[in-house]
Amino acid sequence: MADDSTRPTAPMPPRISRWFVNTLSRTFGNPDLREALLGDLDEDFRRRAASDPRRARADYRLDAWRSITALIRRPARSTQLASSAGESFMSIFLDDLRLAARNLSRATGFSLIVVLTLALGIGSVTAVYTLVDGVVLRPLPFDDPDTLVAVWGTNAETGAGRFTSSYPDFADFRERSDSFEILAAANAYPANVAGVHDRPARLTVGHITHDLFDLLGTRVLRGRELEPADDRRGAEPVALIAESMWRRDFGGDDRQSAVLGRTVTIDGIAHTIVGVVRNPHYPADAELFVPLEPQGGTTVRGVHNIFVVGRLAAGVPMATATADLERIAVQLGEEHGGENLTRCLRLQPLHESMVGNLRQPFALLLGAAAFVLLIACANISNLVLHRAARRGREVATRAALGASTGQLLRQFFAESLWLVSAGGSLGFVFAWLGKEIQLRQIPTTLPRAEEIALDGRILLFGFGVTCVVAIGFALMPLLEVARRDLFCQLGAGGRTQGATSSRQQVRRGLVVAEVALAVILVVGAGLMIRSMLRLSDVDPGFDPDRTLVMPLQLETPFISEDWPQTLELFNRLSERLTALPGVVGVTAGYQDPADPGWGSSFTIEGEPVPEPGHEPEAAWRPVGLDYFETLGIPLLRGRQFETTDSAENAGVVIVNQAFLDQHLPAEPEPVGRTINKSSWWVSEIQQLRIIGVVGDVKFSGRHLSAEPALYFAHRQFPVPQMKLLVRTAGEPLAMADAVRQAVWDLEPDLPIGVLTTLDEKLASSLAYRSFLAQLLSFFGASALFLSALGLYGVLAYSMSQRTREIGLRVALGAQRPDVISLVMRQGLTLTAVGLALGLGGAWAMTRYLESVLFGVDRGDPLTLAAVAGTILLVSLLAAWVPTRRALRISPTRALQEE
Amino acid sequence: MNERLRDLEYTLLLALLRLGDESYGVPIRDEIAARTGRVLSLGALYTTLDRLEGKGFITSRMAAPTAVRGGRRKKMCRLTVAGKRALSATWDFQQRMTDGLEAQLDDLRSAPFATGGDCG
Repeated sequence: MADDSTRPTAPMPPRISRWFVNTLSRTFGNPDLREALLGDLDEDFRRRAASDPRRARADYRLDAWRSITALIRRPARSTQLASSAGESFMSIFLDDLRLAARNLSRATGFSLIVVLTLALGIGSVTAVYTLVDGVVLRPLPFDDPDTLVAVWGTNAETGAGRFTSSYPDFADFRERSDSFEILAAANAYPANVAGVHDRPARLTVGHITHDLFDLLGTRVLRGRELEPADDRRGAEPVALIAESMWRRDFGGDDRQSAVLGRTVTIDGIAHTIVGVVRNPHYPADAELFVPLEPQGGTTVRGVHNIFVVGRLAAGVPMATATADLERIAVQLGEEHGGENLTRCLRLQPLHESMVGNLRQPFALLLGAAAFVLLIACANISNLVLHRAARRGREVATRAALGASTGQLLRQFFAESLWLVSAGGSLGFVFAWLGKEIQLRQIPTTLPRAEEIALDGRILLFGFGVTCVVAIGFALMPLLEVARRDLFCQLGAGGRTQGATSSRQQVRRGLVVAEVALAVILVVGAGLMIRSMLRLSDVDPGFDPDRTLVMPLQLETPFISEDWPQTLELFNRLSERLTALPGVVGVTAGYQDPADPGWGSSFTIEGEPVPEPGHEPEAAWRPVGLDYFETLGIPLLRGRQFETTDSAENAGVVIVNQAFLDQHLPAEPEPVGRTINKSSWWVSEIQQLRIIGVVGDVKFSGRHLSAEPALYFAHRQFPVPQMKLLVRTAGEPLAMADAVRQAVWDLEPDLPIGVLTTLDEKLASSLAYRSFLAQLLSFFGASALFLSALGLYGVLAYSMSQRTREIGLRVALGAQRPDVISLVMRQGLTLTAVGLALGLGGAWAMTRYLESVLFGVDRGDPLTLAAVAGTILLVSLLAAWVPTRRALRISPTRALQEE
Repeated sequence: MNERLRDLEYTLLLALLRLGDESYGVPIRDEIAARTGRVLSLGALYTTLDRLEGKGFITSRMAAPTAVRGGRRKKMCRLTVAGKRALSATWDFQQRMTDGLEAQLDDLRSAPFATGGDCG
């Protein structure tokens, strides 16, 4: 049997199990044993695999696992006790590890709780650190990111704001400033793109100046980068694509750079692909890039729609560059007047401008996770102390038999090492799971989410945390050993009262700290949950129920001569969709009601004329017929738009209540007043009569107050990009295919953007808060659970120490309520102290939450009372088991025990 | 050296006795499984063999590596005189204790409550 030759394609034994046996049999056995064991396992496996390979693998795993257990649990051989100076450090250390593993395998419950607690703590911190590292800490994926800055427009009077710039302004900055090595500009918006996918699609296209990638250090993989000539008006249209799109949609290298020279059609204009670049990560979401050429709206100084980024010239500090730009802003004000008079400029490091606002909430999350780790450590310290106390006699005996403090400490250290490495490893598994869950929950608007990864940096971080924990609770038993009066221990049967009471002090202190930390976390979570509840109660101003949002853009410039066709097509689309079974209503809007959109300035006839540059702004919202009725926005006065409100007739506008409150507060009859608005296009109607007033809609999210809005009739402002809003009878997304097909039946090549629902859009405006609330709730619950475990441990231990005392009391006539109050009083005292400290701590810490709270004060009495109630309830539960145990103490038995 | 053997030690020594001159892990385990239905883990088997070797009841040598064992060597074990003596002492001890009880033990084996017992 032994010399059978193996077939070349023989199945292999399970690799991981074999690795474990190999490693552990070296530690717990000897080389010969390892050799024989591995050989036998293999031989047995091959024999079984001949008939049933799957079964053989399963058997191998089972056998390997049982063998490992047997090796670890096997009793120490007599030689191992005689560790002396002659033995190498390594073999002594291995002996210690062996002994520790044996001890732990006999204390399964203890080991399991410690490992799980540790894993929860380490896992929480590492998972959050993964998020924070990817988004905030890691340097931006650009060349020399520290010298990159964002240039923002600000309000000249207040210095506040972060406004985008206009192309003519940008051109002037670039020409007149010498503080920058490169000053580039970009913007990104969705366009109809044909030539990438089978059907034309709505894709985000980045419009960039030729030197943007030079500035960021984006490498060109194939072809060429953009050149100054590409930026000029009338240049041959060219495009660059990102590596990700190249590999996914153009087959990458498989077709030997055949992508160069191919044509993509962007909003009807054919562009030749001239290069492939490494994914630039800027502008976000774009994979297709075209030169930012000054045309259309981009040539107007008042249209602020581009982002300006720069690289500071060598040796130029931010302050100098800022002063330089401020000087230019003043010059531009003098030269051009108008809005340039009210605009100033400021610089912000690019990193801060991308993620700066996330720093505080992320620090908060990291702090919350660190609290969980702290509680976990306090709990483990308690368990270790508990165990050390129970082993007092063993320790004392070994010490009396000649074990030095060093030897005892080595053994404790070896045990800690096992527990911590198991806890740490499991913690990484938890962290990885946590990261996966976070990535699924993460708000889509989070910048740099694609850079979140569990890599070497994170492993190093987690390892560091684990080491700190290991050293921390290896020291705990040392303190214990160092101050122990060994002989006293032996004499008193391991129950010296002096040591016990001071140890109990430490343990009580730890539990109080745990409860306090848990209170802080639970208050934080409670406040976030209350905020979310408040927010979901806020009326958004429209009915989001069962409504599909379908973005469409016809292939025409923003406003064109073709507008009658545009309107005609939208009419036909609406009719077609209305006729679909399952569709209740159809309307259209330039923005859907959950989209902040953008604003435009206006004046009201008969009101004082504002200073130039200080015209008020209102949201600019062209809408289709039946918009208000379909979306459930109430008409407060006047009338809705009708088919007669078309380009041939007088301009009309509907305003919202917020508009009246802000701009015509004293007007008893606003309907009939006239609004003048400046125009971007020659054909645009500029005089509009107010025909109606509608209720407020919170376009920018339910946490903000409603902004003034002007609704225009689509028939008078026939913009070619509109969102069709389809109210359905049933589940809206189930209708998505039918709705898409209905559109393609009419217009086979019309690109359709991603279909969503109004419910989803409304929820995504709260996604960030809800993400915070979920994480904080998770940490709060973990903290609560761990601290309850800690409290239980202390009470249970204290009861076991007081068995005799309680027995005596019962013998002397104490009744059940007396015993209950004895145990409960101790538990509740600890909880009450922890609660008081925790509430104080919460008051100090929730300051950092204030910016994301809504409709609830951080001292909210309801939340605080609920937290206090929960903590007390959990403490009562934790105290209940020890109390019952105390009630069952029989006086005769308790007294006999000694 | 009148040390009585533990259950597992006894079982292993008996298996070695059955297998004759020299044997190793897989056949020993198979022998025990075939006779009793009890499948030991190889780890338990080797830790016991190790202990038996420590007590001087068996000796072992490492044989040449073979392909079927993934290039690993076998640990061939052999009963020592002391081992045989311990075996016979244990057997003797059991014999004395069961002497005259054969019929009753047979009855117990067929009785439904034969397994398990209450020790108070």
